[in-house]
Amino acid sequence: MAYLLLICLPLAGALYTLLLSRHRQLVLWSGGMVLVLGGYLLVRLPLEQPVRLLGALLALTPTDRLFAGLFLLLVGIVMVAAHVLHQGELPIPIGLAILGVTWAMLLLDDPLAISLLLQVVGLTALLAMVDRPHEPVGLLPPSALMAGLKYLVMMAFSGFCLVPGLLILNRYLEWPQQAADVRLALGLLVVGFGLGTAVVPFHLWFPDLAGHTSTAVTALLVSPVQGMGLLLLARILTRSPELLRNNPAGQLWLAGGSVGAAIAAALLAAGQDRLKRLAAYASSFDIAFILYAFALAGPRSMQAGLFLTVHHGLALVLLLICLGALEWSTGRDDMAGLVGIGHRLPTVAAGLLVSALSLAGVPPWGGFPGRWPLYQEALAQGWPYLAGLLLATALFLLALMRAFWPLFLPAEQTVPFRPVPWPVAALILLLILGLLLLGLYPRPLLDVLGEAAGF
Amino acid sequence: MQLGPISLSVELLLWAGFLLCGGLLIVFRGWWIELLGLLGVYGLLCLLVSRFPFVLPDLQVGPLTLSRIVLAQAVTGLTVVAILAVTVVVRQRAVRDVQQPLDEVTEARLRWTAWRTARLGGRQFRLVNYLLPVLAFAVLVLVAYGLALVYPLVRISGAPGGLLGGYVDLIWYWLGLAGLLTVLLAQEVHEVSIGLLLCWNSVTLLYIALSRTIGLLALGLLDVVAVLVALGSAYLAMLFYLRLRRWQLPSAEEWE
Repeated sequence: MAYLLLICLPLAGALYTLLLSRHRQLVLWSGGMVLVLGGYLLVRLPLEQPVRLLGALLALTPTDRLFAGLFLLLVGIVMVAAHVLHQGELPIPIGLAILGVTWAMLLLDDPLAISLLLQVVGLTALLAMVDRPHEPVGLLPPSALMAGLKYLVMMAFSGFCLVPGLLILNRYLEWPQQAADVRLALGLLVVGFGLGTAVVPFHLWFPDLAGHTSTAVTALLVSPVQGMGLLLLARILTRSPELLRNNPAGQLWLAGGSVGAAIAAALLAAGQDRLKRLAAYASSFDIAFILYAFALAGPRSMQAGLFLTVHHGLALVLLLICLGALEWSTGRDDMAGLVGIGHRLPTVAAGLLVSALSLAGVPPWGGFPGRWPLYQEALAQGWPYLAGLLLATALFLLALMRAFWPLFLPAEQTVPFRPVPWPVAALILLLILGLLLLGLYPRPLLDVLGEAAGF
Repeated sequence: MQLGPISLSVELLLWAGFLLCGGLLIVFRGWWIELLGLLGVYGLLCLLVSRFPFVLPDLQVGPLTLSRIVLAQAVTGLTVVAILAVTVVVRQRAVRDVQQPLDEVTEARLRWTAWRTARLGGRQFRLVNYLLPVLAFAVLVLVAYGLALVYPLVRISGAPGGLLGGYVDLIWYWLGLAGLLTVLLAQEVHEVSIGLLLCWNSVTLLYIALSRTIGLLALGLLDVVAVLVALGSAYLAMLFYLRLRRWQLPSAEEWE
């Protein structure tokens, strides 16, 4: 009953805030109350006491609780930032709906049901994507609508790959003599997760969408939705090790492909002039590293992958909130709009730099404790892997230098700007502190994640 | 069924029905034909699933005894077709209601463009609009047949055994490929949606055939995703039509 309440509370909150979407203050306070109550329930719920609902098993492990808390925090931050920066009426209800479904996914035990819920949450997010407060509904640019349509098609195709992949994997686990099944299952799962998490070369929908929608919606997509997708992949690989163990060629392709995807994403990021598109490629770059960690399938690399999944949410939400604040302040999201921001909006500039360095895995920020074991594992696999990962990191740093150097130019007094509201500045500082803490003191988190990774 | 020397099994008739509906969706361009084809696919899917030995009738609806799984598929089919039909009808009404004052020169140019498009369209109607889809349809039938022979998933697992399993393999491959082609050839948002729904039907059929114990939650979620795909595309379709409705036609001076 308590599990059901945990799932239904945010969903009911989503419906309530959607109906009251014109009363902005009421919506914010209602959303906040739902988050507080949800957090309380999450803390009070007993661990490892499975219950059965509609034939499915629900249970809460320490790792699930950790991720549930993380998603709660990130959705809360995105909701407040979206409200203060006037990024439409829908991020709060859609954020609550995503949170409810994500908690259901964390509690569920069945990968097939989780993958279907991922489809549900991905398709629900479509509602918020074309919610642009500064343009009337009937005057949305066709390119924005095309980006939404592309997202719909890609999400649906992701489901077409995931569900048959899981069914074929189950068939293989029953009849292991069908060797071709394991290759087909891995291929379908990789394509399905690739499409859902926008890894190069399955990324085409994401930069377009990020370029046309508000940063709040993109943040909701990269934090709970992509994070849950990565967590599901880790669960599948941990519970069905045969998928990689009995398929060495597939494992080789997955590991090599992830390194290639990271290099390609870094190169594509280097060619972007619009910062929202750059953020999309930064997400793709980071997810390629996480996929590489999962491809190695050892407990240590799996732990590093889960750690990087936590970091992915924090760093990307920080980057996107900073971009949202920049757009609110200057009305631009291109590189030229960054000129003088280091002097005028130091909090935003610091947030941009910290998130970028953390995504590149530079110490002392949060990405480093996840990347370091990955480099060691890559060296153990063979120097080409390590060289590939280091090349990708170097290219990504180059892309960031190219994008962010205008931050330090002297301010042009003729360009108008608005100071960033204090709640957003406080959220940026909170996330910077979080990333610093993650980088300097990662042990408690690594210990919790180590249990899930099979240490 | 015996037709002279030809013996027609129910499975063969179902396969022919799926081919016919798929052919309607791929070859013809007309919203009511497409929606009829989609409704036909859902109807045939219900009939096919009801023939599975493990799908037992467990629900009494008036004089009918039905399986919950079949009923869920029927309700989903009716819902998604209704969503798409309402979207197309509302779009047509919205387009008809557009009344934008135009000057004489612009009206004349529009008439001339419409006449020229009709002429060109008439020529393309014969050569491209039919030839390419018909060829693609023929190739798809062969590919689906080849895949079902080379990599049969359902027949080997023996879930619905024997002849039925072979046909299920053929049908789920066919639905997936037909859906993919419909998305690729789509010219309207609702056609994209129909293609996606065909693919999703393929996934649903595979799930029902391969799962030893059909989970209520998973089956319900499969249907929810289908409805969400229809709703999402309907929402986007309406936004596209609203945008086109407010599209400013250039005046005579701007034409020059």
